[in-house]
Amino acid sequence: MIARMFKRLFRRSRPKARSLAETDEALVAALRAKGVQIGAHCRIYTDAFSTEPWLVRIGDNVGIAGGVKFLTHDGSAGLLRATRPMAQRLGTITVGNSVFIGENAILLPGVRIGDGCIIAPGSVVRGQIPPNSLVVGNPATVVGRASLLLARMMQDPDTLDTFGLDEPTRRQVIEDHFRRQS
Amino acid sequence: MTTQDRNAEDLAVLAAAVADVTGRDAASVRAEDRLRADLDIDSLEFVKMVMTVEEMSGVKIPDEALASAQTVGDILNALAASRDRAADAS
Repeated sequence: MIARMFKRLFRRSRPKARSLAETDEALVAALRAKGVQIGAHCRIYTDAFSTEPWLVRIGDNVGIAGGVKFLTHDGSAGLLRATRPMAQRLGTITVGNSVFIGENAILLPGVRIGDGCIIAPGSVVRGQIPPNSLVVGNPATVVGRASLLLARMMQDPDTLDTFGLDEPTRRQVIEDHFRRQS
Repeated sequence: MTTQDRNAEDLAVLAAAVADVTGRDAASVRAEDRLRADLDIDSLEFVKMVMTVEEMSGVKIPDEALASAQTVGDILNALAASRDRAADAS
């Protein structure tokens, strides 16, 4: 289910008229220009890096789906301003290497995500996430090992070798696969 | 503890984990049950179930031993093999 969901969400996030590679490079370059620290070989489909993008550090080989939000400040600090007019409460966000963050997840100030984690779509993540965690929910909790999910995905009959194919070929392969199942 | 007792205990642990992630009655879980077709356990629930089994049994099961598991019995076999390997190593 997760594998299919991730594939569907990634496909939705891609602009139709541009190739994946073009989109990656342009968006990553724009985010770096804003101050987001981004490692090598990342696939990023969101530009929601709050008002302090320079507080976000992302490792190598990270996938971030559309709609993900990085919150580097706590807006409720505005309630302090009656007595402390310039108050802001801020936090850095660090994402390790080989991490995937699913569609519409929200990362709160101070989050540290370890290497090899998978954050399920819609999760609201706070605090420190140990390496190789599969994280789900609001508030997000660790439900197991990300590596186990990937080991199962590798054997899943619906995991196809279609990434990077030109779109007509890719569609043909996928439609043939599901036609055989029906 | 006899092997038979151990197997029954493992099934009880796994059945409790299945009940935890699916809401099914643990007493209805059988070794021959298929994870997807019979128990409707998806990939995320599978990972959660394994974590529960490992916590309850105190045995870590390697990912590769679970990658192709299709039935409750497959997980029970992986659990027993992992326990034996841990015992041999100690």
